[in-house]
Amino acid sequence: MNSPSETMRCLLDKNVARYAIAGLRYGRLRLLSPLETDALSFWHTAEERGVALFISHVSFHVLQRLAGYDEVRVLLDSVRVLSPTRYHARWSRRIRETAGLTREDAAMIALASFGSDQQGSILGTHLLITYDQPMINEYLDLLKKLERRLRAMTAQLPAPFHQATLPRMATPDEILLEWAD
Amino acid sequence: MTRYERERTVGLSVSVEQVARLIYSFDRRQKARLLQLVPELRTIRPEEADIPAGQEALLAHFDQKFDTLPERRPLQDDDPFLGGLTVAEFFALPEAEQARIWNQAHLEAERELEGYEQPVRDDALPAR
Repeated sequence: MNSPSETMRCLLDKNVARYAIAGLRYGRLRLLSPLETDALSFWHTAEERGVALFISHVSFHVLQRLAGYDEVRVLLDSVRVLSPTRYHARWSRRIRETAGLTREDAAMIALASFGSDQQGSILGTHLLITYDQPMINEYLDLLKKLERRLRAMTAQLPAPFHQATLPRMATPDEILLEWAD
Repeated sequence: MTRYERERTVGLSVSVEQVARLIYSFDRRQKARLLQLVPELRTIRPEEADIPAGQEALLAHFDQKFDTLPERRPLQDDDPFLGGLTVAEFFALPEAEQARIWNQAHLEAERELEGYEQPVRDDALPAR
């Protein structure tokens, strides 16, 4: 088991959660789609590897209304909630200035850098898992620019914010392939 | 289920799953064209495709989680879900429409939560 400082943390995009729930609902009734299978396989493999899974506070708010259903309950029981901290809004604005991303996409990326759990014991996640390939492409294109801007911003900030990092963004199947090696 | 178990090849080096991934990215017009090009697809019933052992094995992992719940209440077709739709109605929608409703629910939640700030400890662990 990893020590807390070594545990990999992974933020799941809202659609990964949707496909996982659909996979649990229909998995015994029909052949799952590749995206549903990947969502469940990623969840399962991440747990086997001791990776800590997170959903955004926004996804939690949505799923909480459906928490009476088993498929949603087991998902909520398996993840922690990542909420914005101080500087999240500022970094989200900077991302939008740098990249042509939507407000929502920028907020999600910023959450993976300036999000924390309910105990306030962590800052950010290592991975942001999404099926949004255009967002991944845009992010990768601008990664160097974003890194420079983040360094410039965090240099002025107090602990722990000066240690904020950018997440790696990838699809579930991309990470599953790496883990299979 | 391993990824490789899922990737039974259907010819050369292309698996059914890889083809499915490609088809999934098609818009409705492209899918309709595919049906024209492969008319046999119209005759195939979903139940003809057996649930593969790999999928069963994957679900078995989650069965253990369901078993730990104090009371069982699985999603049923006529349960209310999102966007004023039942479970069956929601999941019968085209993928893009499901995504739109899911996204709308998130946008509404985001507005409700706007301004929320989680306090964080000075010694919080960064993602390094």
